[in-house]
This record gives sequence, C-alpha cells and structure tokens, in this order.
Amino acid sequence: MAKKVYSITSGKGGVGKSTITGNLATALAIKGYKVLAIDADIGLRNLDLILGLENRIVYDIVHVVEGICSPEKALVKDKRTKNLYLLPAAQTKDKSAVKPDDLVAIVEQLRDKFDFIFIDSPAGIEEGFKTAVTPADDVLIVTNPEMAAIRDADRVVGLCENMGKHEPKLIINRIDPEKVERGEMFDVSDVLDILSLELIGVVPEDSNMVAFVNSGEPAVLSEESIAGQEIRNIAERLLGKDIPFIDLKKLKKGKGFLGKLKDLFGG
Amino acid sequence: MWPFSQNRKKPKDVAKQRLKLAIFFDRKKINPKAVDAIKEAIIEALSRFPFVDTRGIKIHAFHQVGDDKIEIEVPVKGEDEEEEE
Repeated sequence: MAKKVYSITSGKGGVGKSTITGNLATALAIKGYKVLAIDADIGLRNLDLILGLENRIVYDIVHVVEGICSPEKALVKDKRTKNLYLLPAAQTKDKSAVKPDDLVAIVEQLRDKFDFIFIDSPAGIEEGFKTAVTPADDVLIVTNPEMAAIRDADRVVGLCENMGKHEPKLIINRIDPEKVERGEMFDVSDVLDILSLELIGVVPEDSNMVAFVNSGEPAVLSEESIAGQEIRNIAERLLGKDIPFIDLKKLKKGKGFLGKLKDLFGG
Repeated sequence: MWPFSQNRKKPKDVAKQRLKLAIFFDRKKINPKAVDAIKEAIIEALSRFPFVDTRGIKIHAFHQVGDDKIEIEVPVKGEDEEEEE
C-alpha cells in the first residue's frame, strides 16, 4: 500500500504546521491529485483560514464523530483548486472530542477516495497529538531553526517512535539566510546534526507569508513566493522526485554593494 | 573565505552545544543537574594541576545509536613553544 496519509506535527506551537499543511495539500491538488486536508486541532481551528474556506463550513469533524453527518458530508470543497477538500476542526469543542480511534475510522472511510490525506496536528504532546498521528502512514515534523522548536521536535520524534511511526521526515521552516550567514541562526546542517532525521523540506523565511494568510490564498498558488516554491518542492519529493534543496546563500535579499562584490568573487 | 569572518564563537554554536546537551539528557532521562555535578567533580579532581584552566572546562554530548557518550573538554594554560623554521 502506497503511503498517502501524512500527519504534520511539531510539538511546539507557532512553527508553521497549519501553513505547511494547507500549502502542501494545495500544491498536490493543483498538480491534479485528489487531496484531503484534515484539521485535527480541535477547538483551535485555523486550517480553514489558511485555505480561505472559513465561510463555507457547515459541518465539522466533531459532527462526524457524533454521527450527526457522514465524513463525506462534512467535507468542504475548495473553490479554486478543484481537487482539494477540507475536513474542518470543531471550534466549540476541545481536543479530547476526537479520540485516536475516531480519526482512524474517519481516515479509513475516506482513504480510497483520495490520493493524499494530510492531518494537521495540534501543538503539544497530549491526546490531540496522539489522535492526529495515529492514522498516519508517515509523519512530517515541522520545526524552526531555533532551540525550543528543535528540542520539542526531538521529543515528538521519540513519541512517534513509541507509537510505531518510524523515521519521520523533517521540514525546516522559516530559516532566515541572513541570520544564518551572521552565525545567529542554525543552518540546515546544524539542525540535521542535532535531530538526525531525513530532510524533506527547507522553507525560507518569507515576509509575504502573512499577506497570503491574510488573503486566504495559499502561497503555493503564487509564482512569486519563495516559501511557496519550496513547499511545492516538498510536494514533488513526496511524489518521489529528487529535487535539490534550496541554496540559502543565493537567497539573501537586499544585499548591498558588499554582497554583490562577494558574489562576484564567489565569496 | 571572506576576510571578515572571525574566530570568535558564533551565537549559534553556543546554542548548539547547549541544545545538544539538553536533548541528550532528555533522551536518556538523566537529570540535567548531573552536568553540573560532573563539572564540579572534574574541577575538583583537576584543580591541583596548575596548567589546567578549570574555568574553561566544557561538557559535550554525542548521541549515536549504540554509542552515546559525553566528552569533557579541558583547556590547558600556558604558551605554545615557539616552533623553529
């Protein structure tokens, strides 16, 4: 059975899980795959905002668990990207409203109808995390190149291991080439040295990301977005393509005369 | 290399060393206080050697499957002998 159910988790909050989930799902949908994004962050619904679907939700995942509607009926179809569907989180209930077995049952029911299913995990390592990760064929761990996020990611790797989810893949999000250059931020190699995971994505800091979330348009739909480009590359890697990781040294924006001089001499 | 690069330890290197040690003890479920206890014991044991810079003693952690270890870095005072050409 090919891998198609991916859980996106991180331990620490605010590292960009939902943004990565929404964009990755969109990136595969625009390539023609039928994709489902499940928001498993019950009580703190956000994936709908990232996908711009917040006004179209009728039912949510807790309605499905409570038997009020079928999983299919709760799905929100994306208006731009025809192949993309969202199963929204409930906003009124809390994280324990959906148990691991509930989500496993929902995923099993929907599995054959989709090419890819992405589950956006809540932050933390409590039951909500376990619910989000249990149905996964593979786990994607999102981290930022900073101490707290990396330490939490390491904890999550251990917990995934205990749940039988071996060799999760790593996405390093919001890496800032200028800070890396100044020696203030971990480089990709530092993070890999600490976490020893298989890398599947390096997404640079992109100041335009806020604007994309504000407008409800995933960054992967734009050719201009650097972060969007890298998330499209993650999608390609999930499809088995061997795409090189971004060269952060070539990315330093707004470099002045010195920077250009350095480029000239291959510094 | 670009001539402005300095030998001074970068902030991220300090962070990396601390983080590796913290994660090492997290994984091993060892009380992180053990680091200080080990340091104190080493300082006590080596303080009778005047050439040892006890203030600079550092502990590094290395996590590898089947080969977890800590290494203790002991800086030595004094000047290097001049090498003759």
